[in-house]
Amino acid sequence: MSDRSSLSLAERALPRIAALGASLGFAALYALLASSDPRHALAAFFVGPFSSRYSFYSLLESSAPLLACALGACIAFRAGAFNLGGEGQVSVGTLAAALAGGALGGMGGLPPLAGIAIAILAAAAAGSALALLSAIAWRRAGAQVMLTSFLFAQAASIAVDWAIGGPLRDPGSNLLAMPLIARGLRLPLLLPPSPLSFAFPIALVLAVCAVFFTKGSRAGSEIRLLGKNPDFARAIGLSPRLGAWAMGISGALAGVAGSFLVLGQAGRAIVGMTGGVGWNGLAVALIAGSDGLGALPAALFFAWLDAGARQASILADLSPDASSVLKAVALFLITAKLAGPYRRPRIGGGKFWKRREAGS
Amino acid sequence: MSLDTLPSLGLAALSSAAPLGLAAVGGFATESAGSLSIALEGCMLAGAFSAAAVGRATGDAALGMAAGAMAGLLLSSLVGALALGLGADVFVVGLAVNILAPGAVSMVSQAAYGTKGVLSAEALRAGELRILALLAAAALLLAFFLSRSVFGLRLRVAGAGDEVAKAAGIASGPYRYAAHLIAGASSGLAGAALAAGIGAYVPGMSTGRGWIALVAVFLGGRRPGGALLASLLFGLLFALANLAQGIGFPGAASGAELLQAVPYAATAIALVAWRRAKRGREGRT
Repeated sequence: MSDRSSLSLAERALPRIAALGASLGFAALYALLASSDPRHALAAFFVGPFSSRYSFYSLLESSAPLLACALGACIAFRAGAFNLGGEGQVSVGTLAAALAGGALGGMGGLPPLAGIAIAILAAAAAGSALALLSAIAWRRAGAQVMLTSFLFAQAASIAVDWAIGGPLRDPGSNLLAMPLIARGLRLPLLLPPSPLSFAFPIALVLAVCAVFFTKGSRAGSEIRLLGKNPDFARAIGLSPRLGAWAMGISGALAGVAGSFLVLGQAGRAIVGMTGGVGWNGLAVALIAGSDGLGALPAALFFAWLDAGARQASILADLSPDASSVLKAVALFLITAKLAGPYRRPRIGGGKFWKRREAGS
Repeated sequence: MSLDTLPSLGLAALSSAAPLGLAAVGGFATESAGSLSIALEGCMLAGAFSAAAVGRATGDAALGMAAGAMAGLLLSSLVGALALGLGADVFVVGLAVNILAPGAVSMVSQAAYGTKGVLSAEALRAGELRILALLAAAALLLAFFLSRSVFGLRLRVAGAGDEVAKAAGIASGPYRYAAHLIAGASSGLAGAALAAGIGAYVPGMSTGRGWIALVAVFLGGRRPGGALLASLLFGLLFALANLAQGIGFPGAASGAELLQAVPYAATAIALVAWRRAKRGREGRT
């Protein structure tokens, strides 16, 4: 890892920018080959998301949950913990936010901002609890975080979808969804009629906090040390609980992402509304090299791919699913040594997380 | 549950376990070669779709199954080329394949059939028992091959590290590549069997089975036979969940979907219990 941290910001950023640019080249190639009207499709893909305020603000709004998930993944990776349960942690976050929003809506007498804060915190707590299950399974039994985090999250996702579409379903709605949350308890819109809500600035603040936490705070430095050099971390007496803390924060951020989904434009919890944001957050974190600073541009890039592909499917004849192919291409290019030095954060390499493996 | 449902439960367990076991043994090959592939999930999904597409077009179940294996092979050759040829990180590439597969399948499906939804392929159902037998045989043979053959030994040498492999006179790269191809083909075939089981491709039908296969690799103590046994256990869990869903347990008709969560939770609990027991045996706290 030392070779990575000794690189300057530009040396780290340039190969990534080149790889992302190359994946846009693939997007253009795809538009040229697949569309009957390539010029129109290209314009829709590349310029569409920026062509109107509405679509640009939508892009920003959709980047907020992605960014929150990515920040969580960054912190877990920093500590050397393989949190693959982001999707399920977002999912329990949506349920918790919807339940809290629904319960508070019936009470009244509470300042709306306090209600929103409670709903977001409830989502964070739910996501955190799910992630901590894996940390506990590791500490108590040595079960690999990479496997348990996925399994717990998958079970939780199924249970949440069942709850939203079953016992908690709003019977008056055609959707498989819970009842709408009172307007006052949703995240205020910044620039109506666009869907841009407070979720985006909150995500930005979280990004600043995450960067400060990992680079400026003592606990953050200790977590980084744990991920980088677990033997040394243990030798100087750092607590193994740090890894659990990192997992807890990671899950909390995924939970917050879930609350953004519910308290934003949708205003309710809907079956399957997480739509891969947990996995995409993981991909964003890997593209950013687990760096909170890099997570913002990477999240915006992914949101752009989604928005561009959607626009190109509406205005031209491209597929909205092209974005997931392009994301995969971006990941391929960024990790292939073509694009210059790339070191994956040492996931699971930490001795605190992996010491049971040493003997086997 | 009455006694006469037992044989059908056993069969259901086997038909859930066979694809899992095959994918798990494939995953074991990569783990053994020191380059664990997490792309099994994506390969399974691509395999299921290709099997349905080819089975539908040709009306031939065997061709469909072969197409499933080919799709997995193709994706895993991409993983191998990037990870071993271009020095990419195998975890990141695997994750990318898992993001790629559903999107690519949905694009192809939309372009070829005008739908992103269910793609029926009744032809695949022709030989349900034969497919089960094929899969079980493939899984057993592959497990036997990996644990007993010189090739399997060399995979393990390659997995012990480049220096060890060099000392033993083996170039580790080609063996790792071969391991990825094995993993891709076997999980592609496993995915094809999923599609054959219901005679259709359903979006997202792999539902984490590629990950469960990885768990089976570890739960099986990193031995191919162990991976098969673990897969049998998971197969039984999936079969029980399906059976209970079919019957509907008393008083909670709407709880049926919830049962689908049980295999994942039970798998996690099994993993934790196994690691705990292992730790106890080794006398460490």
